[in-house]
Amino acid sequence: MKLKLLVLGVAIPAAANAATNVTLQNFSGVSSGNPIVDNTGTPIDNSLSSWAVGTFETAFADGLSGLDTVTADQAVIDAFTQSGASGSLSINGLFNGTVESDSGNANANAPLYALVTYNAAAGVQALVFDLGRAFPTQDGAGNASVDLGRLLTTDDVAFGNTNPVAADTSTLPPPFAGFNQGITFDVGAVIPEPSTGLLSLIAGLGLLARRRR
Amino acid sequence: MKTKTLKVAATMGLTALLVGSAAAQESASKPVGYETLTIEDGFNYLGLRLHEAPVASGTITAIDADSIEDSAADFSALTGTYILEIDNGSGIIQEVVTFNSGTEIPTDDLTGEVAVDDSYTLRPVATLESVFGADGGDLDAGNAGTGGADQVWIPDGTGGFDKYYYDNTNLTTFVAAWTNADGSNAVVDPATVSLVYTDGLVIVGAGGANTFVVTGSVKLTETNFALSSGFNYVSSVSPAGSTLASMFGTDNESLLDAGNAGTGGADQVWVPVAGGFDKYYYDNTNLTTFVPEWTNADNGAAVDPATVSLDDASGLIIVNPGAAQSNSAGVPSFYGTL
Repeated sequence: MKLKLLVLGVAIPAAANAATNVTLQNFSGVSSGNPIVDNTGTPIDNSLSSWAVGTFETAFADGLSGLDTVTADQAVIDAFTQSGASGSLSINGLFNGTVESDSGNANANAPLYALVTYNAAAGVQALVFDLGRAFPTQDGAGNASVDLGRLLTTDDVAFGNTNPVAADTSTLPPPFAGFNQGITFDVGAVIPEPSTGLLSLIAGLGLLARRRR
Repeated sequence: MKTKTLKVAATMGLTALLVGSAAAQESASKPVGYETLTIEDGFNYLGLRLHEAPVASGTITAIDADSIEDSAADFSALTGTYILEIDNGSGIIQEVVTFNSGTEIPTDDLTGEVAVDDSYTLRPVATLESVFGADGGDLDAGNAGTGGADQVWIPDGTGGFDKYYYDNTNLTTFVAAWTNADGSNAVVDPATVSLVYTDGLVIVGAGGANTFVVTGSVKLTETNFALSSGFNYVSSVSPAGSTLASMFGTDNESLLDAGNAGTGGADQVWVPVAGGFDKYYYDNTNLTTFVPEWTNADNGAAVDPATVSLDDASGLIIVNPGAAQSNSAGVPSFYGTL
């Protein structure tokens, strides 16, 4: 008679890191950057903003580009399944850092998105980047990493303005003053070029002078 | 000479480094060499297997509960952090950040493990700077953040990591600097970040595969290392010729926790390979042979530990399901001839 041998195993203890490191950036040093800006072109206040990675249900993700960027921000935020802690913006409008996500690798193979939120005075605003890949499968030690190796651009925007807009860099530290094109939340927001604004001012002064004569 | 010995000799450049004792009464030649380690994209489990050259060696003349003494030594010229190695077969190592006097080294209580007339060696601890360079060397650097940067993770002893990278535009100083990768952008002095050679390094690579070169001397004696409960990232310590057998013993002489007819309760040794890990443990009752065997943790097959080479695995993971413990790591037997 064969004896059935029961072996009671002990679960492997949790890995010390056991997460997927996701590194994202919209600027690199002082040479290149695409700041996230509000509807006036001002880089968003980093104390009122954050970024995170996560995923959406497929049906919702398929409809992201068709949503009204002005009114659907909260719906997008509610539909986003965040994975891991949020990351911060290093400087107004700019982020270049790493977050730990997907503890337990539950999101392996799920589409990977990044959500930027900004608590604007008029209400929260959301910007979604499609990172074009899935959450990776973690290795046996529970580790995986994603680094796009490039800046996020408007080409990656899945919910938000897919066209670059002029950025007012006067609020950025001088080394970053060259980042004059940004990414914004709302389609249709008219952000005047600095030169256009100046012409308008001059034209206005000219009309005022003519009236006084 | 065995082929492995030739490989080690070639690796080490057949160079002998004379080490003077603190009292200049004796010297020992230590083989030195270099090793090129590769950083792939993603997680790399690496270890430092060539070490800073010893700066002193001698004989212990007195021991108490918190120090050892070599009355013939003169440590007064030594500054910085060192690794104290007790050369009595115990493999004991300790970090030394200061000296009590010119002849006395503060230690944990070693009275039960060390005796008068035991030999010791002191070598400087490796640092982030000595291994990777003050300017990050061959590591991929970040630019105002971790994007595109190779990150160096060092076990912190509590199950987590201290994480660093080299930033060409540190956001605190706006100049190039070693930077804390915790998001604080804090500048780090790489000369103050110790890399104890028993600890494995996790390097999270970005931007494509690259390599870095480690130079130093070969440790010729065994090393004791502490295992926390859970995942332990350790170095395989010996740069060439090391196997599962030479490091942990043909019959598990290093006394890792063994399984009994399975992996339950067993310490597992994970050897990084392309695409994952080869996993081993010592089973007191291997279910194939029904005798104690090194065993493949994935399929239960008995394994000849002398055939499991660690040459390509500078870093290992030891998974300890039990309480914290201390174990020893041996060196290839032919190191005694070097």
